[in-house]
Amino acid sequence: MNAIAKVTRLSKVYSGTAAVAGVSFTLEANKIYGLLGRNGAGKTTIMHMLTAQSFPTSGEIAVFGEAPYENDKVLSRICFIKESQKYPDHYRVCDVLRASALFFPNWDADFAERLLADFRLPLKRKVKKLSRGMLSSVGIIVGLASRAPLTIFDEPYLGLDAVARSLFYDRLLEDYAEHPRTVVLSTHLIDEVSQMLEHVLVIDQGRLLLDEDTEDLRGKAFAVSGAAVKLEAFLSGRQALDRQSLGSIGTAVVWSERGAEDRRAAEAAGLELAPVSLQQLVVYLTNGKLQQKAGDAR
Amino acid sequence: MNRTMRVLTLHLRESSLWFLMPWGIMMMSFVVNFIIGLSIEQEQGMYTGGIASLYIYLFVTGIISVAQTFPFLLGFGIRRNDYFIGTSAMVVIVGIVTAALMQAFAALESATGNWGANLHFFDLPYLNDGPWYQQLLIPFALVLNMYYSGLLTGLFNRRFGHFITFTVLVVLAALGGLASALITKYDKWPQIGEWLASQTAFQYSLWALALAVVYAALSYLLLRRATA
Repeated sequence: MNAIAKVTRLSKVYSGTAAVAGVSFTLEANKIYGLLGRNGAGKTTIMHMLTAQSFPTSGEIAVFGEAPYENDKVLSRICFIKESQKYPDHYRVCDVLRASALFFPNWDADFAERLLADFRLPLKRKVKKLSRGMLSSVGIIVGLASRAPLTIFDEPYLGLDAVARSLFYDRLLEDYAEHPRTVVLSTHLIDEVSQMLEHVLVIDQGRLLLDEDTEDLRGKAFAVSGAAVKLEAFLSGRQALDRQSLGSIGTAVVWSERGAEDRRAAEAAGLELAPVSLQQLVVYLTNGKLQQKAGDAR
Repeated sequence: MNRTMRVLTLHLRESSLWFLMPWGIMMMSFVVNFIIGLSIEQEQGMYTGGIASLYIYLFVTGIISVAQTFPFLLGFGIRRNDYFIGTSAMVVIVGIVTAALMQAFAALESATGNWGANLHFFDLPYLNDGPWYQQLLIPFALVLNMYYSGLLTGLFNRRFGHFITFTVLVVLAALGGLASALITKYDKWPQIGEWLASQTAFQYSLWALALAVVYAALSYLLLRRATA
């Protein structure tokens, strides 16, 4: 395991309210992470602290083995594309790219130029006059062409059309294959990114609910449906994240550490199995009704 | 090239903002005054405060830095330290260039017999009384003083919000009022007036420079704790 970032019991309190409460996780090199959660869950706050743009109330952060605050060795290896990134008012798209070339050591100007054509961005237009989608494209271009060992995208999809979204997906994976690095995608639009993610961190109300490889996740969560009586029998002693019934037929989403075994048991009991998408799983975990169960599931 | 130098490079690319704009605004004032000077005959000559616009512009530039280049560069992973030093280097360059240009224009003004319009714009009594090195220090000190007071104002506002910033300004004004009431009460105005009048423009510029250093130091402390 090659950890490039380690966060320990990280907390951030804003005037009495905990935006982030005791979060610990590790980011490994050359993986694509999803930092998922609802709006206001604390995702952006965590990323701000990770990049020393705001300060933790308590807890520890080590990025590339060192504290990030005022640390050039750390900061010069991170590219954090904020949803709220400010650009000087008079900056045009080309000015942003020129500044990026100045500040990101691995900047690839040719790649940036190709991306610019892909996303059809007007080079001479003022950033202030760009639509939300175009502004997101600027962030994506900077994030990809900077080739920073730790690249963080905060809500990269905002306002992007379907074509641009799949462009981002394709270019990221292509470039990631050639130049491996650690990528963190923070978003509440989970379906859009779920295929790319190798590992997910789910945050809700400042707490870490889930820290799993997507591969394992697929094994651990599944949906079962069938006659209510059979379903009840199957569910006793097992974790159900969600339950619905229609007449004598019931459906449940099951969380199980022994996924394969439980699946065979469900089949043996005459129940239908179905996969659960990452999006559905996050909804079940964070919709508020299941806080307790989610805690247990962890 | 280290990252402090890169911050300076970024500012140097914005030369139009640091030089063209303030000088353009001031030169418009100059042209207006020049035309007025030509069109009306004035025996004792025309004196203007047109150069003040340049210094006010720099104060505003200081405030704007806090809202524009600082958050931009912090977001791009620049250390607060590098931002401060790189930006300060730019301000010192602006101060030197401004001082040199002001001096050159003052010389041109006296050489051309006040532009043939009896206009005193750059070469002003009192401000340009001392030897050349003193005349150079005055605009330099003013540039630094105005920029850093703007920067400090902007950073203070960013840190503490509009309400507290405004409250502090009101309190400062009230303290000034109180001081002046006390001076009146104890009849100290004549002494103070005498002292104020005895200071040369050069001495004032030294004060301005000292204050600029204080503003810069306070700005640095606020910047080190500034968040995105």
